[in-house]
Amino acid sequence: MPISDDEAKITLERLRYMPNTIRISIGGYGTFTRDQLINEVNNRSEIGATIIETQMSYVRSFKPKV
Amino acid sequence: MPADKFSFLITRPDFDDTTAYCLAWSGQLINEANDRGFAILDLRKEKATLEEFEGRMKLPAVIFVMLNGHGTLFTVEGDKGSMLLEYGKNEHLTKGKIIFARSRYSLEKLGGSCAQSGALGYVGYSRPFFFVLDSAQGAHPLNDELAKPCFIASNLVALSIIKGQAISEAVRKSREESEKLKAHWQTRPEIEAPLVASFISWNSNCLDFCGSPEAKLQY
Repeated sequence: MPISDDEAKITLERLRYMPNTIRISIGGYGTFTRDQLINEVNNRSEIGATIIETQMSYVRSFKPKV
Repeated sequence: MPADKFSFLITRPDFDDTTAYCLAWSGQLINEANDRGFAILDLRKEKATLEEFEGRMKLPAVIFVMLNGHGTLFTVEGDKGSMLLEYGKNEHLTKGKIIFARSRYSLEKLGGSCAQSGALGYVGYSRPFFFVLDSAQGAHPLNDELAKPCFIASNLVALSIIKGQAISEAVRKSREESEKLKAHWQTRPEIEAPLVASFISWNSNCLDFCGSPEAKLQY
């Protein structure tokens, strides 16, 4: 699924809010710092796309069900 | 039960942060299986190789297998990228067993193939398994409060299966626990809490099973 600029911006804001000491394990992709993930999102890499997907899935879970 | 007839095979490679955390958090599962009388076959660190794995998988006493390790759509790996279970290669070894793979992606292709090859059930993740690490706790995975909720929810799958519950029930319980943990972390004051909550939710959404929903350990 294509990633919109808005989705990337929302994800970047969520990541920038995190402390720089944080590390995130993403299965076999490895472990990443906050700044490494920000780069992945900016580059729209496979890892960046996956982290965007996790954050948008979570944000959308707050959308009221009709 | 004639406990000594039944074995729990677990693979626990340890060559990076992710596998080190999986190794540590699997200790609880080994203790529970041991308390229930299972023989424990622990392929730890450099023992998580294809030769060791296939040798144990051929034992009829092995009825439950937990795989910690990296993976792809078609594989689950052991020590430093060595293949353990691979689509089109050795799924037949899962016949009559229940598999739980804490490994990214393997559910659909590899899990489906194992179920078709006679595995009673295959529980796993359809996408990467995420967790947050607290750098200050790096050497002590069990003390890492940020990683803890993702492992509690994941471990509940294996604990439920060890206790004799059906794989569908094990997944349901894990999802239910994930909802509680997510709600808890949505109210925590830590700055990392929103990210932790998002990964609890993601992992839960990616958890599922192949095979009969009623598959359970017969002991």
